[in-house]
Amino acid sequence: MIEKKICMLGAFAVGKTSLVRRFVSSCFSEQYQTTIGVTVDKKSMTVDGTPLTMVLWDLYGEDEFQKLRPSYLRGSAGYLLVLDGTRRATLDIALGIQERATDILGPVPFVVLINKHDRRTDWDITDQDLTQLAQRGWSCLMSSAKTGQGVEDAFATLARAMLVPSQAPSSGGKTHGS
Amino acid sequence: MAQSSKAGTTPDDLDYAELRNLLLAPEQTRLEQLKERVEHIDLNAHNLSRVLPDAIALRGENDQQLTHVLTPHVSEALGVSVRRQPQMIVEAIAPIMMPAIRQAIANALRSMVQSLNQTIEHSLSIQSVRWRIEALRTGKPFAEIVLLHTLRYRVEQVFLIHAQTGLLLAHAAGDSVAVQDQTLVSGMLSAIRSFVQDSFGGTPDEALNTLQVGELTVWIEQGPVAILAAVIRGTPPESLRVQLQDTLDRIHAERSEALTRFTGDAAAFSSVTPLLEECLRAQFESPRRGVAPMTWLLALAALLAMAWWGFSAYQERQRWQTYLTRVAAEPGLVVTASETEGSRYRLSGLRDPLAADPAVLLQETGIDAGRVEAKWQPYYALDAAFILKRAGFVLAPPSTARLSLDGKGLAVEGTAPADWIRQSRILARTLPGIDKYDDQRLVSRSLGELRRQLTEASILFEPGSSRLASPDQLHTVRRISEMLRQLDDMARVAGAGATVSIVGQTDVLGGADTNRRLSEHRAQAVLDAIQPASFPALMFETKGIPSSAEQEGPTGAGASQQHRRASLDVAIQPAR
Repeated sequence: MIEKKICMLGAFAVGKTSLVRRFVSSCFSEQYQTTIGVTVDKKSMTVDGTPLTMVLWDLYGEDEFQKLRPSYLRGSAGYLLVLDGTRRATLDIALGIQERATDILGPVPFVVLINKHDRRTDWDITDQDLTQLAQRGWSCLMSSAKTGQGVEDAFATLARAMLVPSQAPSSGGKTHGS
Repeated sequence: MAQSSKAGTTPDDLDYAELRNLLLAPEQTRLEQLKERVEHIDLNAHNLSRVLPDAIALRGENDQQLTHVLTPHVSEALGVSVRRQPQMIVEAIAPIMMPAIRQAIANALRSMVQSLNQTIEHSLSIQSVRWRIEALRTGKPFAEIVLLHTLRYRVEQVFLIHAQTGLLLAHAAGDSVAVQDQTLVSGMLSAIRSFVQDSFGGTPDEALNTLQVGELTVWIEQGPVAILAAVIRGTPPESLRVQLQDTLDRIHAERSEALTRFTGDAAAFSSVTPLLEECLRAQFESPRRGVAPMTWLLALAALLAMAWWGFSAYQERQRWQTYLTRVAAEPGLVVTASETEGSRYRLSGLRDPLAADPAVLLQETGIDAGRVEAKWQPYYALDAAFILKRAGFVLAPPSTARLSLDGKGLAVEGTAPADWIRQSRILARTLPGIDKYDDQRLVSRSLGELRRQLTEASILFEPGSSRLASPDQLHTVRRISEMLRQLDDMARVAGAGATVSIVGQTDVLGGADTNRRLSEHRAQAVLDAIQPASFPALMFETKGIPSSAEQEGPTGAGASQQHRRASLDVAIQPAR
């Protein structure tokens, strides 16, 4: 059984922990609980016939007070970069995080998740922003931890990218969804 | 070239050939050899054998194809070989297997002894009672209480973790240890280490190496690529840290390439699990090298019980032997077979009906009769005591007769009735073990006794009378008749004859002639009264003896009734 370390990255309160819970336990809670430090979880799945265990490091969300610690990120085979569609500021933070992650990890696969798609009407992030992200060659997906939309896809996409090292970095660069 | 010369070619041709020979001879020879080899390059066994080992080695270096191809054939060949010659494989693997088996058995025995030791100690001591009370009070299992009190330290789990990714490479846990999800534990351990190092540690060397949680301690050893984390209950000694570090170093040395190339597949590290298991050590308080006192006590009790049992068995056996000896010594009892079956005995033999009762003998020896199964067949014992006893039982002699045994001859003495004598002569012949029966002395004594009784009897008469009319006279006559009947009978038994003289007497009163006649009449009267014809074996005679004045004493008692009587005299004629 192959195991891979995956990090959940993004600004605070974008829904990283909720996404992990939805993915691992298929549940969701409206109550917000901030992550202090890191929580480790795991999920086994089969990708294209290859069994894989993803060890998910759910890191605390970055803000002006807490920056990403390289030591948590080290050894990660890939990461999910999570944005909150209703807060445009999370996009800028994500861009910064991606740069530092690339510095630390090198060109490892990652998937950008614009979360809270269930509140699409409240989104600050525009289609133009999404287009710009896609132009960077990043793999972008819409997701909702509340409804489960796009969650399995996001992890499966990242898993596929990790199992095919030759296709790294940034796995394709195609924007999914609208 | 030699052919060209013989053909008579021109000198130029010869020169050319010579030149060519000088310049190209080595190459030409080499060409000939190569030509020869190319023309006969077919893959025969000889050629193949020269290149086969190199070819296999060369092919094996590139990939695993050769292994895949050969594996089923080699496996099948090995299977066939083992089936045909199993002894061969036994001999081959025995030197490898036997030490391992010996070690496994030794470990199992040591573990069993230790477990027994602890069980006995912890189940019987005062301390264990206290711990049981504590277990009841706290609601914890007794085993856990014992562990808490006796455990110095125990390594419960060992994790080998890839340092950079925090992924688990290998894991080992002790028996009956509650194990959480190892992947998550190793991930969180790495995360905590990172957090601590980021927050407090300055350099990589100052990483977190100890965690303390209640009674659990986690020791973390850092290697270049991997870390080793040991979860320990209790207080471990520093030497354990050295062992952990040694183990980690060894894993780095042996699996350095796998560690470097690790991308998530931990299968390559399954072989290091035994190394981790070696770290699962435990040490208990006051370790006992010897055997616990309670074990000694129990062993002593067992020994005493065995000794008691052995002594009882010995005593029982002795009792049985004593019984057999007694039975063997007892006349009229013969043991033909005896056997012991556990605590039961079987006995078979012969028993004279007159012999002592074996059950009574058994009771005297103290053996439980219920454990003895005896079968006695009846028989006649020919011991002297038994012959005599049996003779007495069969013949039932009167109290005046006594039996005695001389060799195989039975003799009888004293006096007895003629009927008994006659009957005994018949019965004595049927008695087993008796060849001769002698009753001569009995007969002669009986005859003598009858004679004595007869001579003492007398019939008294009235003065001047020879009549037998009074009741006393008639009674005496009947008594004498009875004695005569016995005498007659006895004489016939003895084959002897007897002459009975009836003597009549008178007192001194009266004339001599008168008295003479009177005396004769008195004798005759008695003879008539007793009817002599009824006694064929006896002869009778009568005579009168009158008393005279000269016979009287000075007292003048000659006229007394005692002189007016008739008496008997008996003469026995021995058998001819």
